Amino acid sequence: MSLNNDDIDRLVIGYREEFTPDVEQGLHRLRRSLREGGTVVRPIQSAPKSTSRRTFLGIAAAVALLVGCLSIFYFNQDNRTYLSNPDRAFAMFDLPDGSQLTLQQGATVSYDADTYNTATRDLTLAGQAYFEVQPDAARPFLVQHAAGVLRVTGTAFNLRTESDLLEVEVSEGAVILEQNGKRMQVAARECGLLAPGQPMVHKPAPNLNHHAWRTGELKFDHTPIDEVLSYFYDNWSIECTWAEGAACDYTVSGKYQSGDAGAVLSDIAKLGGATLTPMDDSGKRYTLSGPCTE
Amino acid sequence: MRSAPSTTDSELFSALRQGQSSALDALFRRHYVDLCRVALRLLNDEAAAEDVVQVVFTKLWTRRDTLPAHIPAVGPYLRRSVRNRSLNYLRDRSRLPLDDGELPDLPSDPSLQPGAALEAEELQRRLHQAIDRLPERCRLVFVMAKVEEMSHQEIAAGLNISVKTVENQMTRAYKFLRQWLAFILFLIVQNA
Repeated sequence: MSLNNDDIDRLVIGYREEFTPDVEQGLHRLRRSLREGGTVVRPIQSAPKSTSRRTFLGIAAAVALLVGCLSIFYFNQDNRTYLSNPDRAFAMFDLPDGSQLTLQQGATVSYDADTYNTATRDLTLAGQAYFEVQPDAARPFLVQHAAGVLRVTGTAFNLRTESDLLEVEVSEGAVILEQNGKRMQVAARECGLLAPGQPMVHKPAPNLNHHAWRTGELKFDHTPIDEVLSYFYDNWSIECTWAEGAACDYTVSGKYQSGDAGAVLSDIAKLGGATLTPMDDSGKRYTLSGPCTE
Repeated sequence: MRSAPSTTDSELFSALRQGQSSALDALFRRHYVDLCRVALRLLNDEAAAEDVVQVVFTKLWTRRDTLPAHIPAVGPYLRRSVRNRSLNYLRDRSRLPLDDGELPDLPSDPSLQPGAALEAEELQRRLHQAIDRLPERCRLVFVMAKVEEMSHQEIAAGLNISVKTVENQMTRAYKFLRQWLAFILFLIVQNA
C-alpha cells in the first residue's frame, strides 16, 4: 500500500492546530502594551535550534537568559519616554507609530510621549540601535544628535552614536543626514558619518558589517586589517592595539559567523601571522603581535 | 461596541477604525488562537508566534487611522499580516533558511514505529511529525503552500528564492513524505 500526493494533502490538515495559547492572557498583555503607548516590549528569543546557524546574538541571549538577572527598561520622566537596554545582548521595542527598534546593550532611546508621531517622530539615541521605520511621508522620523540630524520617512538602518559621532549604515531604503544646513543622502548598503566641525563622510558598505552586533555576520572582501578591526570596536567595543606600534598591513577576505567574537578575531590575526593576546579579562582589550605575513 | 455573535468581522473592523477598543478586543478573541497557529507554522517557536500576533494587533490599534476603509475579508487580511510579519521576524534575525539542507533517514526511532493498527488520525499525526523532520527551507515551502495556501509566487517572494526553487522543494517534500508514510505502512503490514 502506498500514499499519493492527494493523500498527503488530506493528511496535512490540522498541522500545528494543537497549539492553543491563552486568549485572555494574550488580551491582557495587549491591553498593557497599549496602555504603555503602544510600545510592545518583547523579551529576546533564545537562539535557533539549528546549531549550524548560531550567531553572536543567539549565544549572548542564551547566556543572558541563564544568568537570569536581566531587565529592559521602559519608563517616563519629564514627559519623555525612555527605552533602555542595560544588560541584554539586544532588546526589541515597538514605537507608537509602528516603527521597530532593536537596542544594543547599553543603548537608550527617548522621545516626547506627547508630541511623538504628531507632526514628526522625533527621538534621541545614546548607543547603538537598528531601526525599521514605518513609512509615513507626512511625519518624518528624525534622530536628533549633537553632530546633526538623521531624517527618514521609511527604511531600515543601523545607527551608532557617541558623544561627538553619529554613524548610520543603511540596509533598506535611504536616509538623509543634515548638518549645518547641508544635506547628504545615504542609500542602502552605504554608510554615513557626522561629527561636529568635520565634513560629512559618505562611503559604501556592501557587507553591512555595522549590523554584525545584531546579525552575528561579518563579511570581508580584501578588506584592510585596520578596517576589519574597526568593525570589532564599532560592534562590540573590542579594542585591538599592535604591540610596540608595529602594525601589520594585510587584507582579509571571507565570511565569519560565530558565537565568539574573540575566536573570530584570533583567526583573523593568524591570517596575517599575528598573535592575539588578551590584555585583561574583559574580553574587550587585546594586543596583536608577531611577524607580519599574508 | 458589544461583539454579539451576529456582529461580523467587517463591522468590528469598521468600529475599530472609529476607535472603539471593544471591537479590537472582540477581533482579538475571535482570531488570536488561529493567528498564533499561523505564526507558529512559520516560526517553529510558540513564544515568538505569540509575540508576532501581539505586534500585529498592537499595530492594528495604533495605526487604526490609516487602515483601509473597507476590507472584504478580515480573517484573511489578519492572516496575511501575521504571515508577512513572521517572515520579517525570520529575515531580521537571519533565520530564513539559506540552503536546502539534508533530508533525514527514514524512521529509526522506536517511538515512531507503528503498532499493529494505525488509525487515520494516527497516520495524520505521523505525517505532521514527518513534516517537522523536513529541512527547514523545505518545511517552510511545503507548509506555506499546503497549509497556508500561498501561491508559489508569494512563497518565492516571502523567502527570497526563485519560483523554480519553490517547485523543487515541493517535489522534494512530497517525495520524502510519501517515502516516510510508505515505510510506516510497510511496518504495519509486517507487524500485522
